[in-house]
Amino acid sequence: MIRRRAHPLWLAYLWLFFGFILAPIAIVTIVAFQAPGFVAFPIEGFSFKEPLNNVAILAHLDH
Amino acid sequence: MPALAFLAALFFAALIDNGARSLVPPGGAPWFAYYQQLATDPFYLRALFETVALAFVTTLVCLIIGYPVAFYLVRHARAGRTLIIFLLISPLLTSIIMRTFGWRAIFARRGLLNASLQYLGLIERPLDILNSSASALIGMVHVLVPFMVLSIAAVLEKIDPRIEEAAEMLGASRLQTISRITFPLSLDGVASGAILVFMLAMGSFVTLLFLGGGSLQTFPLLIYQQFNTTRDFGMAATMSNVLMVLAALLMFIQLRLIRRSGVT
Repeated sequence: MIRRRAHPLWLAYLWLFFGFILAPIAIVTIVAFQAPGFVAFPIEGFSFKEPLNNVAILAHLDH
Repeated sequence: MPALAFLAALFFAALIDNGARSLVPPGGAPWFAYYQQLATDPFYLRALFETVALAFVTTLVCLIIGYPVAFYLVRHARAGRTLIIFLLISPLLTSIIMRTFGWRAIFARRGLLNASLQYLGLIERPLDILNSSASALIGMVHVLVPFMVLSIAAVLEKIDPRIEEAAEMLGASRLQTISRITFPLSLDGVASGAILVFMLAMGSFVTLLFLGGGSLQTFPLLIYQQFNTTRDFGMAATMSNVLMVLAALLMFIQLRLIRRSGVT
């Protein structure tokens, strides 16, 4: 079997796909160097006992 | 024998306890009362619907974006094949919490996405993407799409490429060959990947907790809440049993498919 050269669109799609796959990991790595508190776990005040009531705490972090 | 005893003690004992709690409610209520409540209460029916709907949409999106990657991996990748597989499984080697926080940093009101869109002048005010079903869906797809790609690639690998070459020699276009020859032949992999992703999506907890922000009420979130907040162990056990039966059913179908296609 002869492997054909892929259409440039395939490669563009592949770049997009792996951008999507690797973006959060890259972001966490970058953020970790700039704002250590953001990625600290557990978040201050965050409780697994009230999983659905943590929205306010998480929203506060985002603002 | 010690292995069996270990399994019995740690696995089956917990399942039996779960089953007993769900069957016999305290206070002399009739057997199966929890199951009856689950099947009739609109709140729980809605939660079950949201659980299944989210798993279904996640599976569909994973299939749509994962199939082209699996196809490229098997039919076109040469030297880069190992790199692609490594990049594909690399998120699985990192903590799910770390990945989820990455998405939070991207979707936050002052996060990367909103900042980029504002910089480009596409939006005036930041969008509320975080803590929505859309952000939960994106997080779920990100976690689960590698499973779909690898399942499809395993079956595509077994399809003889000469069949595709024959179709093209007989006048079929590349797109026709993929849609009428390759895709139907790879349906076993598609089904296997879909079942795997669906099962994992139904039981997903961390991604929904951190990205859904309460916008979705799925069974795993409710189970956790019932166990830790309302302390209703019986209802939590009932919901987990329903999820387990669904997962077992899907796993049975998946095993049948795997046996049929010969993919190991």
